[in-house]
Amino acid sequence: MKLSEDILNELKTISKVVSDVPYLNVFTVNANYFSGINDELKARITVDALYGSQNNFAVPTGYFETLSFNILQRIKEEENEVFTETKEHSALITSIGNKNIYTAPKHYFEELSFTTEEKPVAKVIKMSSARGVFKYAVAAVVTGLIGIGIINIQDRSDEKLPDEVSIQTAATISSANDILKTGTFDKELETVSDNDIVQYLQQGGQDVNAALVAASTDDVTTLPEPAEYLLDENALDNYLKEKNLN
Amino acid sequence: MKKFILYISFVFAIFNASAQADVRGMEQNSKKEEKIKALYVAYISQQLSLTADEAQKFWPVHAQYEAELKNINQDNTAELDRQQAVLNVKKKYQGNFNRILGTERSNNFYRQDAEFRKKLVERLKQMRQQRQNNNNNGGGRLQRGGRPRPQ
Repeated sequence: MKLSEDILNELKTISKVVSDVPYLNVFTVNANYFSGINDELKARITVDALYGSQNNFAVPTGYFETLSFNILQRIKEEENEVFTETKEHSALITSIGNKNIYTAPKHYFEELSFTTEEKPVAKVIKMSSARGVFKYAVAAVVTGLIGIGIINIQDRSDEKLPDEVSIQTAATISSANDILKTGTFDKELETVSDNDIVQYLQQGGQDVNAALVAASTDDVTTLPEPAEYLLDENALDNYLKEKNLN
Repeated sequence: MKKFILYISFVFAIFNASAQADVRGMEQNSKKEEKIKALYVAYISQQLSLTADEAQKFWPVHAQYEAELKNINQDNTAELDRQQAVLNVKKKYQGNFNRILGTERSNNFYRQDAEFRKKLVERLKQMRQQRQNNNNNGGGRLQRGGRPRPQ
């Protein structure tokens, strides 16, 4: 309380008028004031009280009848304003006008198919399934033929069948019997060529040149004398050359 | 597709022709070899005095023996290994030859076999000597029935 008195005293020094205002609650209402306020407010509020006697939403007579005309008129006026402004800035753009440049001649699209040039269309070759199978069949046959060819040739060149060997042996024995009967061994031997003899001997694993040297040295009387080696360092080479071995 | 078949046929034809040529070449070589074989059979038959019955048994066994030796000589093995393998085959067939010819003639077969080869070497030496002489006499010109000496 002391604090309130101090505040009041201070207020008196500041403003006497304010300090003289009694310390009362000015916002008090009568008892049951709010219980009946609802009905009281409804009774006071009327349409006239809100809007008065004049209708604010009324429109002039014939307003809607002329509305569309007025809107179009307004748009035209604005367009004219744009046109005038554009004309002032650029004569070129004005010359284009407001014509629709994306128009097509009459019946253009109806006649379009006749005026279009037909491009040559490539021939379509249909790959039927039968053709594909045929291709693989041909490949298989060709591969088979090659395979059979290889096998046949290898069979012929590799091993001779036992029957073939026995037939060959029989043929050889028959030829040998003929040679023995006619006594033409030496004569037949003379008909055998140099190369055939070499080939036969080589097939038997024989070193032909070594055999020729051995055959030549069998006859010691034909060999150079020991002194000849001393006199001529090519004595042995000459001997071999003489024997057709070098 | 047609080109593919044509190409394959062409390749196959070349391959076949080449193979046929090889076969013909082999057949020609075989004929030449047959002549020397006939001489060999004649020589061995005469030297061993083979009867028809012995020949009938001996030559098929000999054919197998010869085939085994041929296989060994075709292999590129070391020389001593090759000789050892040849000796093994000879020993392997010795029993078979003994049963057909008897021991003595069987041994003689191996001797005569070597003798035939020696005869061929002699013939070869003789031909080369003759060619050498022809070349010396003819100034190196090609003689009738002869061939120039290989350099």
